[in-house]
Amino acid sequence: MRNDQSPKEILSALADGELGSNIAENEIIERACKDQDVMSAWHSMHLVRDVLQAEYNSTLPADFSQRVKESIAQEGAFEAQTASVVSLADARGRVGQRQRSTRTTQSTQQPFAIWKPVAGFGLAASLAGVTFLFSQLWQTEQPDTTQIAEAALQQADPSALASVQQKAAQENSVDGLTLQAAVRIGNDGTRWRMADNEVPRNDEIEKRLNTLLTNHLEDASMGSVHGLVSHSRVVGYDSMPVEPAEK
Amino acid sequence: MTILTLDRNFMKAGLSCICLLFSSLTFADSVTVGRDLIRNMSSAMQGLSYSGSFVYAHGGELESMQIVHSNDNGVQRERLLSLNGEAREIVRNAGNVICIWPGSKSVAVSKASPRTPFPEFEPHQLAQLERLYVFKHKGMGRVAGREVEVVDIKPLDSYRYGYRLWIDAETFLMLRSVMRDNSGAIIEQVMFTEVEYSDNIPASAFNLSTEGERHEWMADLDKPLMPVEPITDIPGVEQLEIPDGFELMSDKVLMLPENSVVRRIMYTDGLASLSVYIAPGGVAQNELQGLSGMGAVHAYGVTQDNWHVTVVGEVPKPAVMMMGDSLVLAGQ
Repeated sequence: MRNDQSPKEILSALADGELGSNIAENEIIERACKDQDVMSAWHSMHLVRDVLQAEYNSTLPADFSQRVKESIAQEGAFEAQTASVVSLADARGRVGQRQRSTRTTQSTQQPFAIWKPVAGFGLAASLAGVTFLFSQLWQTEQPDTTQIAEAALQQADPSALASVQQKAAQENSVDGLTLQAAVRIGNDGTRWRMADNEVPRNDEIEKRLNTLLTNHLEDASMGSVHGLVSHSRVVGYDSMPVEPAEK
Repeated sequence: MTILTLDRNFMKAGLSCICLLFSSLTFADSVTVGRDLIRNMSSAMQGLSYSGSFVYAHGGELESMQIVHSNDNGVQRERLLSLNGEAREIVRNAGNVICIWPGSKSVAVSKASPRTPFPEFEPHQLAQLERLYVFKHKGMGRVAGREVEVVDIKPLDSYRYGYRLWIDAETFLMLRSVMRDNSGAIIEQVMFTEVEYSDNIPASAFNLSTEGERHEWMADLDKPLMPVEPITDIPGVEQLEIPDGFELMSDKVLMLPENSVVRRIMYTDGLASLSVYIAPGGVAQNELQGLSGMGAVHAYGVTQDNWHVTVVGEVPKPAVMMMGDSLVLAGQ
């Protein structure tokens, strides 16, 4: 163990059990916790390790780890998921209140930046699956790690992924745009807006209003200048509406 | 000299009268042309067979839609399909209206209202409309590659919207409309990007694009739809303040697709309309309390004892709020 090692290198060594006795463990943890990149790498390590070592929560099928491995082996390249896909790691609650915006900014620019030092220091010794994952993916698109896990989960158990995403969407720590997109997909309502902004959206009320409006328009369209076009108000609907510009 | 001055003054006055008379005639002519265009347009929307695509803009959102309409010896069939987002669609044939919501995997079926040649404005109705709106022919334009007549319909109060309509000069089909509120702000726009007229639209054009058998059907086609047997225990209206010009159009008890029974009282001023829905309910979490809106449509919900009332219509907020707040149900 050298004193000139970076926090990430030290973290990797810690994960591999290669730390020397001359550095106190508390000091390592203290240094690592001050570095956001290191923390992000640490969470990613544990996410992938947990998945591959079957240390997953009860919402997943028993053979999930094996199916993830098979999925990884089968997939040449994983296409980016939609904007609604949020961090699996966050959704599982294993990383507390970590900000998911890390994925949407840093990882899209340098998808594997956080993994390079980890790979370089032999993390594969304890995370054999990760090494295998690298060997399969490094030559292709080098996507985000959470997307890989989510894509695998999608293939293995779509309902589990939906549950995870729903849970994530309900949390408040996601950056606004992603949260809005995640919440709105699958919403059966239209675009009813309560005059009182304090009143939350209610799908049941929106469905009811849609029914009443459809019924109203059916008769009203006879006396409307728009005819059937009036029904555009109910039929017209884009699940990914334009969001207000961020301030 | 004096005579000359008088003559000049007389000539000025005469010229002014002639100009005033000419402008009045022009204005009256523009009003008549505008009104006649609206009448022709309304008939064309039901009588023609056509297909096309249009964009629908509301509240900063933009949707693209496809519409097919046929009139085969008086039997009308229509289909409206959203081309972006969820593939919602409405198909109407002679007997049914089928609304498909792929997101919720549901299909709502209801009985189609009979289509009548529209609007058969009686003279007194036209007089009524002209008391509420000003019709004006604005000139010619071009939409979807076709020549159009432009007509303005301006409301005279804040309880209804104004329209500018672009009407096909040859067929009288409405190809574009802009709806404005009382302040002049645009609320909704509809504009065809392409339209094709054909007397031979195939039946397949009205096939559902969604495989309905995988959806939950909210009405059984094998059974009579929407039984409308009178259900007398739903109260009517004892007191209601209505915007000027709106008159009772219908009063029915209906079975909605989710098997809820409501009483619907519909009012219209000839162009705009709104409905008062009265249903058993009381104060429930999933019932609208207060004002909600979507584009040009507004809804206002209130509760009176064990009944919930929803006022819905393509009218500005003040109209639904006035009615909702003033309503007193019979026997309450």
